[in-house]
Amino acid sequence: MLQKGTLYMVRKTDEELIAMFQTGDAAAFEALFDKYKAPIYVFLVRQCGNREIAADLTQDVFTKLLNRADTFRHQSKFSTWIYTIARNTAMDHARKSKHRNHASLDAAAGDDGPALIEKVSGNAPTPERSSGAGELQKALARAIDQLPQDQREVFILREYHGMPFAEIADVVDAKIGTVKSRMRYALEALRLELHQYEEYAKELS
Amino acid sequence: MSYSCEKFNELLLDLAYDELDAETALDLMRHKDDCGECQRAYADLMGLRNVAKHIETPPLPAHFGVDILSLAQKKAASFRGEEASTFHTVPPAPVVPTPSIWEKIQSFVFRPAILGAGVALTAVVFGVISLQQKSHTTMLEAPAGVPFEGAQPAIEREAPPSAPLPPSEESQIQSADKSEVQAETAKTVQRIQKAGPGYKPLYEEKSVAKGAIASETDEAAPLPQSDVSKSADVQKNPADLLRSKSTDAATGSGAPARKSASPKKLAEPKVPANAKKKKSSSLETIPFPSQEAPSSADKEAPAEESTADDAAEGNDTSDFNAGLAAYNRGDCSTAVHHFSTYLDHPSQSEGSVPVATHYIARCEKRTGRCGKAVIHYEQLLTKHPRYNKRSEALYEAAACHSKLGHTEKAQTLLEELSLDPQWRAKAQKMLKKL
Repeated sequence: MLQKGTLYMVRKTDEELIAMFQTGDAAAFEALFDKYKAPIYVFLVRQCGNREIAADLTQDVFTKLLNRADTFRHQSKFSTWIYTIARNTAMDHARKSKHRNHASLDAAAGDDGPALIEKVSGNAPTPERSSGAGELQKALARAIDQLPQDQREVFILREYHGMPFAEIADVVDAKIGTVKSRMRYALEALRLELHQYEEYAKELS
Repeated sequence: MSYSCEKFNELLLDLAYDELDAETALDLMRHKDDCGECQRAYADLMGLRNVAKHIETPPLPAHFGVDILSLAQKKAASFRGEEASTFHTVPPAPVVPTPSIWEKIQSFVFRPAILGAGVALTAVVFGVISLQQKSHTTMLEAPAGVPFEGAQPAIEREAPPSAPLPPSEESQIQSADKSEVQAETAKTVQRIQKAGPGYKPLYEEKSVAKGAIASETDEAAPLPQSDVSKSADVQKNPADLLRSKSTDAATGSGAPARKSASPKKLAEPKVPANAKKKKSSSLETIPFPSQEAPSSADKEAPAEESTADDAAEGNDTSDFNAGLAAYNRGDCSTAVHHFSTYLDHPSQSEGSVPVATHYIARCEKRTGRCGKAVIHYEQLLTKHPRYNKRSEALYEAAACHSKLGHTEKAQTLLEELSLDPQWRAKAQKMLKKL
């Protein structure tokens, strides 16, 4: 399917790739898709807390991207644009589903059932997961899940997607001071939840 | 510069996430080393980040995005298609919905000429028959078993004209009727005398024959030239129809197709020879010339239709098409003339400029004028860095420079070309030769 090699595409910036796609080069889109599909999926998993829904939403994001590709005017970074689409898609979904009315990742399925996070991972419990590392992962997922949506998205974009605060401000349509403030609140909330794991995390590192 | 604890806290996030310039970061780190409270705040934050990095990263579902990529292929194709569709300044004619059979019959029957002819024919037949009947009933006694009654409904089904005929036509019919009646009466008398009891009235034969006459008339009635071609258009698929419409529009002869068309014509369209020629000629202008293969690079060039599609943005396409036609028949000097005229035209759009420039460069190269060719290639490569046939242009330009002995320039172009994996082998091969 690729007309041009991946290496050739890797050398191009996102903005160059979308410009190539705008001239009809499907391989350029494929390169962008390969680069962003996993981060966007992870972002949406963190945002909506459900992997199946996140996969559907990721599909929606790229479909929207395709449909609006001709409207990208190169006035912002491509990453800002795609994360904005992803964020809006997640927010639309949250609005439709009445503010995440699905079960939390860490809510137990029943009295005896495993936590949802264990079911959605799709893998059998590994030794690591059954140990403290697994507990740390669950505690972390629960703590992030409990953050308010505006703090959670800022934390995820900065911590896991490496997006600078200025760019996050563009994505969430807020001032940079507001973004940093949300980040501080998020970090403080997480610290309170996770401080007992700090020593353990140091050992793991 | 020394920082206060307040300033340190303000910049702590930027420091932890490496968003500060090196000098500021160094100053803050110095402050942190001297201040226990700030040191603790920094350590807390970094400790939390250390915890946060242990988050589980969910893998993407298997086979994710296959349909997205196929959608992307279609979208990319539509981007190329849109460029082609914006080539003509005259907007493409709207797609006329295919009329139902009943609409076709209605539109055919209610044409003034057909309607008039039908009414006149019916009036003639009706007049003849009624006169015949009158002459039969008054002048002669029909033999027993003659199917007068059975024939009557058939005559009635031949509906009388709903609208009155114009006076001139009516008088013509009346005068024609008189002479015909006299002749028919005489013939009928002779036939009855000959036939005896097995007599079958003439009007019954005529009523049977009339259907054939009417259908013959339908078939014989020639459609206007435009209608014939339009009725043929109805049978084309929508894409072909659009293409022919846009071609019509471009040539200025395009009018929206009328719904009227004979059902028989639709079933077996008689497309005039010139209509067929028109279609083939319109298709000839679309593809990038495949005859041009001065180098192996050209032979292996990816689908070149898109290049011509890219060209399809200009406003005055006549010079472009003329240039293309000249190029196709190998008349490079005429092609260069037309493409240059096209480029001189102030209204041509950006998308077609690199294509026309590429044609000129190729023409010059083809005719051995590498000196001129490299000028056009240079223009193409510098002014249109996103031209989608850049790799081909790079290769051809490098070949020209190589012929001219501009080794360094050729090397530079080939080095750029080697970034494209499809062309890497060729570029390296030529680099070795250099």
